[in-house]
Amino acid sequence: MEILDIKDLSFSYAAEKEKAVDNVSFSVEEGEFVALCGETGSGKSTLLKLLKRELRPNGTLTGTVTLDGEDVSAFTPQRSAQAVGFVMQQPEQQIVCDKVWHELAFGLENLRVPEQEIRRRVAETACYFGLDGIFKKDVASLSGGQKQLLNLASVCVMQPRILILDEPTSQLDPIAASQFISTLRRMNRELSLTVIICEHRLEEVLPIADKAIVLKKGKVAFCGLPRAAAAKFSADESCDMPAAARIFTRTGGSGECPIDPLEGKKYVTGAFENSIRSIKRETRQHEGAPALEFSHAFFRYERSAPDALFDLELKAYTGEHTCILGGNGSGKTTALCAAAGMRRIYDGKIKIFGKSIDQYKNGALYRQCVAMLPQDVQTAFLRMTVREELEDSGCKAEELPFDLSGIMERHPYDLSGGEMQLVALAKALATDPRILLLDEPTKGLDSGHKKMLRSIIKGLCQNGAAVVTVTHDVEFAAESADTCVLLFGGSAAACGPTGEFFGGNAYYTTSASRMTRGFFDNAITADDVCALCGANGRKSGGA
Amino acid sequence: MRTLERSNPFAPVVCIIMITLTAALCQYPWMTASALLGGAAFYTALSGRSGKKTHLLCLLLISASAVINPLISHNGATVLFLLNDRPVTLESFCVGLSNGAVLAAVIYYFGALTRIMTSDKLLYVFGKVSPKSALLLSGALRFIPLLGAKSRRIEETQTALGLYRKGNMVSSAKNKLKVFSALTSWALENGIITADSMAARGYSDGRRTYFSPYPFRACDVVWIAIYSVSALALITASAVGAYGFRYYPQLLPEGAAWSAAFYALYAAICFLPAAVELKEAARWKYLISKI
Repeated sequence: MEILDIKDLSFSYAAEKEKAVDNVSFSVEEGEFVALCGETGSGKSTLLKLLKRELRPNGTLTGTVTLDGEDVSAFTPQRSAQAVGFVMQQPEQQIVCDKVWHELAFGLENLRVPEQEIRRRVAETACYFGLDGIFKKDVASLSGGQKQLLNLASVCVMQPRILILDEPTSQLDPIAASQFISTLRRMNRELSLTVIICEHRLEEVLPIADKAIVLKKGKVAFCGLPRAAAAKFSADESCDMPAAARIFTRTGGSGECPIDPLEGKKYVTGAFENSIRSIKRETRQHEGAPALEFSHAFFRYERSAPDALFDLELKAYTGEHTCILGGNGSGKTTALCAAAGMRRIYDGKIKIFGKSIDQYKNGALYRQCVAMLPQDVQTAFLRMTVREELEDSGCKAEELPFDLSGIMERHPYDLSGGEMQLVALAKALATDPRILLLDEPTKGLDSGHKKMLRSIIKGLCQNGAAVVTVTHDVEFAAESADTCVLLFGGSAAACGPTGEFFGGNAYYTTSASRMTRGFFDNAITADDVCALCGANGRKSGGA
Repeated sequence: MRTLERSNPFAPVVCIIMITLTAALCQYPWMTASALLGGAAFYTALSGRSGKKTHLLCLLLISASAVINPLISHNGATVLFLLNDRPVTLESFCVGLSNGAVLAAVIYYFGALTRIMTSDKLLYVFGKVSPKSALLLSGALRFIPLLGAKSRRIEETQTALGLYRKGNMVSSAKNKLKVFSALTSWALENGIITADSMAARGYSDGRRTYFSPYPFRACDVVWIAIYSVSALALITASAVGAYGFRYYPQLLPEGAAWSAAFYALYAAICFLPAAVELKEAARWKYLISKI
């Protein structure tokens, strides 16, 4: 049965001539899981907001959105709030109340549901989403993943007919993101809830979707099966299709396009020889003494708390990009803050260019030496325009390795995640740092900006800087790092050149590496796999 | 009877207001003593050893009041001694003692109340009176810690970018001002998303219900009834002169012979919260010993 029908929908923002959404028509069946793809600025977010009456931006709108056979514009306020559930990108800002139970009840209170009914619905929803353990807690004490799950639950408690999600996992770490996506899948399968989701992380969403819609410049470029979408757009880098599909297309595969690691593995092992099993990588020699060195470092947040850094040994060299990986609470960010002089270790030593960090006095550490960008890059901005920001920090825009000229007059808060990262980076580069520390720089970035970030880091390393990145993003680390370190329980559990590091890990590794495990030895990116496939050639009898 | 801590939040609020109101309006030695001891017992039962500082504070308060009052007020017939040619009287000393004791009792009871009333219980009481402002308060309670954390993060980031040096007062005040202005724009920015999220979940200016995880049970009604009726009876009886106590010009009990019944009633409502608390503790001990 058809639940949602969109006919000739066009929209342009009040101040702009160009249409953000251009003549879009499609329909969604009840119980369908729809993945909406497209690069940044393709109108995905705008389209989703048009489906929720309360969130429609100002501008001219033509065409109709019909839910359950009735025009959405004709809904009563209650029905409109209840029937369409909407989850946004930012986990923190969507939360209204200070307690978990109150947040869950918020929507029902607005709908004037009787108290006894609220009690029942809140209880059953909390159980279904596994929130019973945190029911009475302050929302401030939750992790990002729990917050986003709470946002989902407090929308679902209103029992919507259709659920719309606008990049819900972009601010989460990969493990929390996977959990979030699998909760969505469970709701879709168990409750036959209709889901429309737009995501950068197609690797996980596409295999479970029933339908994929690709937007290009506000127009529907494709609407159909996910597999067909993957086959059609995998060569297009801005679409960020799963690695299996990219490898399939680049190696000229024919037949069904694989979209998850298992199918990808079947394709590669079935179609190619593996007499050459590994890629030759030149082993890098470290240049001189380490720029940053932790030796036997211990740190605690409180005297009675457990060690956040436990006997940490870590070295980062000039001219190299070092990536620190690890789960939540493994001490990654703590280590970075300690290196930036923001946390004082209570035992052991941190040396910056051979000199103990305590010997850098009166801000000497931050003059042409160390600069750090935190996860929340917004905290780097204090002024009204990008130009003022750059002038404040004494940064010359024309000397930057990237171009900011298009956004000089914008307010820093109005920038996209990627642009924000670039401006913050420009501020950090103004101090001419020899050690640059980055905390989760790829969070919320699209593939275009990630690629740009990779080349900027590479350029900095070639100019003799040491870049240390803390990240959850294994794909980014595999493509960009020279050395990778795995932190576990506050100490370095594994450390090595990127190729060896990911080749040796069975679980904590990239999807390309998972796909070729036991077949190739150290293929860790889609490029590696394609190169090895090319070198080996196809099986003579194979597909 | 269920302890006040586990009752509907209205029960402790009503009970403690009634006890302290009566203590303030009927300042008679027996009643003041009951209030002080009952309050101290209840507070200790709830806070255990962590309440040491409060005991010290109350002791200081009572002594100070007892010493200072006779120096200021020279009423009363029984002169103890002369100080700078002014009489220091027993009655004035007793009034000071009693005032201090009432204040101490109020501190104990309200100290106990703040231990019981967590922020969501407070909001519940508030929300029954005005749902709209309760929501506002809930939002504010959530926002204040967020603001604090953000300001700390901004300072750290600015330090790590070499833009925020600890220097003289002028430059550090300038820095603080910049951080403050960034915080304001962040708060506004944040507010837009929160407002969207509220609108998306049907928030409007219209009426809304208020949900709380605290149902009203028979036991809560019993607590509230006992305390309201007793306080009303004690205050009216005192007002019509059924019992009482005069401090000036000489210490003198007043009222009928059965005024002892009123004192007993007040002592009972003062000690009941602590007694129920102790009974609960004893029950736990008993249960644990059986495991």
